[in-house]
Amino acid sequence: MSLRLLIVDDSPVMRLAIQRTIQISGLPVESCMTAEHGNAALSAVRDNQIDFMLIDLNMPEMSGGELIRRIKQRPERPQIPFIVISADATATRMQEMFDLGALAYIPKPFSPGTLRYEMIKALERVNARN
Amino acid sequence: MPTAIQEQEPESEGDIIVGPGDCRFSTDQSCRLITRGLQSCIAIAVHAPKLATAALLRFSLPGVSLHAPLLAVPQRDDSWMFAETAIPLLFARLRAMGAANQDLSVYAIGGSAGPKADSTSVTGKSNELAMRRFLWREGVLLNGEDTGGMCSRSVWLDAAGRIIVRTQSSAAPPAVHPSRFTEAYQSERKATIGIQPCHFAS
Amino acid sequence: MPATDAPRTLKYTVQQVLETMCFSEALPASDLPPEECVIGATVSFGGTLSGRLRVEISSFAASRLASSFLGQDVAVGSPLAEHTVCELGNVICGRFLSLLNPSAHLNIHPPITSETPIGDAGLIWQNFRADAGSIRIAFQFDSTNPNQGR
Repeated sequence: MSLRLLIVDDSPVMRLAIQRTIQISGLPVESCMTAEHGNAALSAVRDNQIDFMLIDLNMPEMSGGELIRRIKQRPERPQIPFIVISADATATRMQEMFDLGALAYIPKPFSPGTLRYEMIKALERVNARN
Repeated sequence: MPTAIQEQEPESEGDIIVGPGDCRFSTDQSCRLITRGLQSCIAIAVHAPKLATAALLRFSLPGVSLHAPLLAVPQRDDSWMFAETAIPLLFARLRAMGAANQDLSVYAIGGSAGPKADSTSVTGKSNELAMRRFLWREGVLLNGEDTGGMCSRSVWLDAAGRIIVRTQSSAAPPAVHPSRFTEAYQSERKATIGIQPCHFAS
Repeated sequence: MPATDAPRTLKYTVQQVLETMCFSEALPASDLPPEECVIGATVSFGGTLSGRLRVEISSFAASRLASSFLGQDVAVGSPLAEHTVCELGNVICGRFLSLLNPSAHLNIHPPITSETPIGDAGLIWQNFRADAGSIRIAFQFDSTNPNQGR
């Protein structure tokens, strides 16, 4: 299974770092799109076949949580698997995101190895469901 | 209280010993690359299965510009002594042999503090950070690691990819009791690394 | 966690963030030499804990940290260096607040670069020397008790 990924983070350097990790991780990724805010992410999801998302929470105009809720409201393919990556590591926020269906929650700062490990675990869960 | 364990493995004829500031390559599956007594030094063990090749690097210091003046005796070629030069050189040599990063299994061992809080402990951590920085720069992610702590480690690696890591803990207890933050940091670090320590026996 | 833990928590946070993201040690420093060129970013936060974080990093250190974070050379004055300072501020802020009050409700606003330092009232300052240069971090809580609402 070759993945089409979407990385959503308002930080250009974080998007670059995540992209680099994905590129060298050996994961079966066909394409890796990025979006710097929620509206751009909604457009990307609308216009492209996205298989997996990595989502930051604290973004201007639309938070990552709001983005996830809007994607879930779409009648066509509401269930895109996603991982949350956020500097907010409070128990409250983590539980909120798991309740929304996050496969994993990676607190910042994280190492490239951690991201790869969590991606592998999450993809195993997705494959097991399918 | 930790106890010392026997860490000697009998050497065979043809085994290659890798000392500080050295790197060796092997395609001979009957011989092993060996490095002993790793403390602040770090060993990078690489297996390239498509080439049936193993490499074992042992570096001692993080960076050339800061630490070259500290060497007691100027080295003719100290490229393997520093993470800054050794890691790029290691992967350049492997690429020249025909290996691609995605075909490699890479492990890191060492970077421990000594039994007392001295320059060794500072160097161990500095070496570990330098190792991660230059591996990241090379576009390499570790497949396993056994780093940090306060123990001495030895590594045996062969061209078939079999790797053995043995640790010898210090008999003395740690000089500083772990703080809540140290414990939290260590447990979180182990949890987030998600990579098993490399204790693979053939 | 009592409020007196905040300075120690901040020190631990800064060290953890720089080591994990930029593979760089951050050693506490009692004072720092004045830097000619500094990149500053401010992160505001609200919710259970409200206030702001200020991070100031010398330009050379910012480019070195960005190079380490991205795994590629970043020149002094590059926008990537400024973005790295902002992201470091964001991560330090979130991590610090999450450790200080793990059950807090946080709204962390996007960081903004600015030359204006935050006011002096209630500041928690920390100075660090990284292998590339100097880093200064300051927090300012709107209330005197960071555990309010816990």
